[in-house]
Amino acid sequence: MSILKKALMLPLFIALPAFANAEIEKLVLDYKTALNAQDKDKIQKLVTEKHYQNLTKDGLLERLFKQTQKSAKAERKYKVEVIESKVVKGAIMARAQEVGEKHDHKDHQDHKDWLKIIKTEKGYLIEEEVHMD
Amino acid sequence: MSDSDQSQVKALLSILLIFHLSYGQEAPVQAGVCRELLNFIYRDMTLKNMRHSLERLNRKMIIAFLSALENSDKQGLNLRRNPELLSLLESMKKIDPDFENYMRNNHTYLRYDFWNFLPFGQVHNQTITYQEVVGKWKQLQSQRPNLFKGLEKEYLLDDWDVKTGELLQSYSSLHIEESNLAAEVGRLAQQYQNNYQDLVSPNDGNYSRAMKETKAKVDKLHESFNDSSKKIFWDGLNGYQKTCERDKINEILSAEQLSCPYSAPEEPAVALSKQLQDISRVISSDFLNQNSKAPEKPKEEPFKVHDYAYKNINTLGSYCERDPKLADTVVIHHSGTRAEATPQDLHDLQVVSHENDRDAAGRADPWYMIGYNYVIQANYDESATQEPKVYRGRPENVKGAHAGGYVNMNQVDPKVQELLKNAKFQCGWNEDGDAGHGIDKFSPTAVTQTKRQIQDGYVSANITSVGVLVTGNYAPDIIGNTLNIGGYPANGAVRYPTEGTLRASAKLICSMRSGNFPNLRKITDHNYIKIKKAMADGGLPNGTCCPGTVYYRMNRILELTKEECPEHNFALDISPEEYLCPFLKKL
Repeated sequence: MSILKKALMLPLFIALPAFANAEIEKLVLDYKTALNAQDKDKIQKLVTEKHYQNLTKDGLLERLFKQTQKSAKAERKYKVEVIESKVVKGAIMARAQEVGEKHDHKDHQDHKDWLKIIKTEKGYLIEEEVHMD
Repeated sequence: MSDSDQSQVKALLSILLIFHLSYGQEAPVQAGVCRELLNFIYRDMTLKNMRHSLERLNRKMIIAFLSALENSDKQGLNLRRNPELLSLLESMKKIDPDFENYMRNNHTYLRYDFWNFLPFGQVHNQTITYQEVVGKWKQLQSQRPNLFKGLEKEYLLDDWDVKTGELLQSYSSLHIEESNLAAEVGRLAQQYQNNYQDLVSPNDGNYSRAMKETKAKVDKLHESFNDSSKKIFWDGLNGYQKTCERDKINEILSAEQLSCPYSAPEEPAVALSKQLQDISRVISSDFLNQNSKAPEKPKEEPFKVHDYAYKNINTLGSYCERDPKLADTVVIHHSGTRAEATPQDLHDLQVVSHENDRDAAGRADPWYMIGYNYVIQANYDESATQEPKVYRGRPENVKGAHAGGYVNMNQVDPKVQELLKNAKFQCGWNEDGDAGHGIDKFSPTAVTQTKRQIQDGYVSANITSVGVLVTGNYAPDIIGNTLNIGGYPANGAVRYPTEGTLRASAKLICSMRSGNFPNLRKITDHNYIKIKKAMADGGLPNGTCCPGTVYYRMNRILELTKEECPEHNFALDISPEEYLCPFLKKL
């Protein structure tokens, strides 16, 4: 490969993961926003069929919506963390932490909600919401 | 008590006496036998039959209600003008304040959630108990017989129904293990709702058809109840095969020995005697005498901790080795995940979610592997015949990553305190990722930090404890305003760990104590180990909801350790109730 080709490819290799990260971040933010806006149709488009079934089992979303107030995107801001694992092949996890929300870590598993993400033909989708104690 | 009842009591008590004769006079043996029988009665007889008992009771109440309404109509009184019925409904309203609204707005009970009467529901400001409602029904039967005119005696509430109400009410305070009872109640709730629909469907007081249908259901339940009682008793005899031969029972019956051989203290003997009387009402003496030879006891598989070959070890993660003798506490966790999650699933989740972690100095500090020392692969099925499998997590000589807190040295067992003063630690990395988890690159900084903490009077709880994880989500599916997918429905039956899970936990604890953890003394919940130091120091405790409702079964785990390894003494050291998660406080 010529030096010129290498020079052209290098920024591409660097840019691709960053692009994927941005796409995942957007997915997570959209999901959070849809939840806050209580927009079931939007939620359905962002998650896998199986996850949507879990969300609607026993009227879960309806019950959640009933006890929470709708809020617009602008009202809540999130910082999204995306991990594309180098240890577990293909594993992508992300979480959105509301800005201002306290978080501490040291040597233990706090109450944390992570989103497992998978890449599908339709793009990235939320496969599972993992709560670990 | 009738002659038949007396003979039933005799037959049951005879089993106790035979134990007495067979196993000699030693007090501990007698106490063990009595306790075993008492547990058997409580658990297997009463609670497993609770489903039938409860269903029968509620259907009978519905029939009685139908009858009262019909007779009330015949007497020209509508429901609202009938003082006795109204009083009863007022009582129900005290249990559920929404009751009146449903009645007023809908003029029916079609949409009324009957199961809110039950103590498992989230009932606020409860000033009357379910048990009292049952009592009121019985009182109404005796005080206003005209309301139940024409109703056959077998559909009136009886003593067993009162007992059912009493046991149901005391369920939560007794902490009896039978987590599926709540689930059963949830299932039955749907049936009760249907019954209420039966109740209100007929117009103009024409309730005959609904009553006929419900009666047929009760008849079927009577049959099922009896069959179930017999089956449970028959199964229960497995544990008593040496003592239940027919000729010996006859011998004992003729000796008319009616006292419990358990001499002291008196309280359990009295309770046992009372329970025997209750059970004698549902077991036929003929059945006992005809089937007194018990089947062979099924062979129990010896308890085993399974090794687990974890893939995806993060060799960039550091860890510390510690002597298992330094552990004085077992910390119980729930995973908050699906119960079916495998140790590998949990390992992957923890490794990935901590892959980007950094230490206080900002250096990369990912996790090496799963943080717990043991994983109990539980399920939610109370009827499962096999106990959950137990797997190894972090090796027993590796400090866990589960507790999330520190403990003061004076909160540690005195023997362990001494060991800690001279303990040797090794920390570092398993760079070649060998399955034996050997450290091949050392981190003196981590060792120095640990030793300094001990000198300063505190120590990481991960060093002085063993982390035991029960898989599953034992919290509601909505906590506060947050989703907790996989939890039990926040508006439905509460999920508790099964008896098999609790038994496996107890066996594991016993096995650890008999093995390489000789200083294990305390059993605690994740929340408490996390906040213990802050509580003692007067700081602000930052707790966790873990281990969910398993917290309310910790006492049962302790009881089971006494059965599994009476030679060892453990003590519960659990969160004070005021420091529990709000959803747990409400239970």
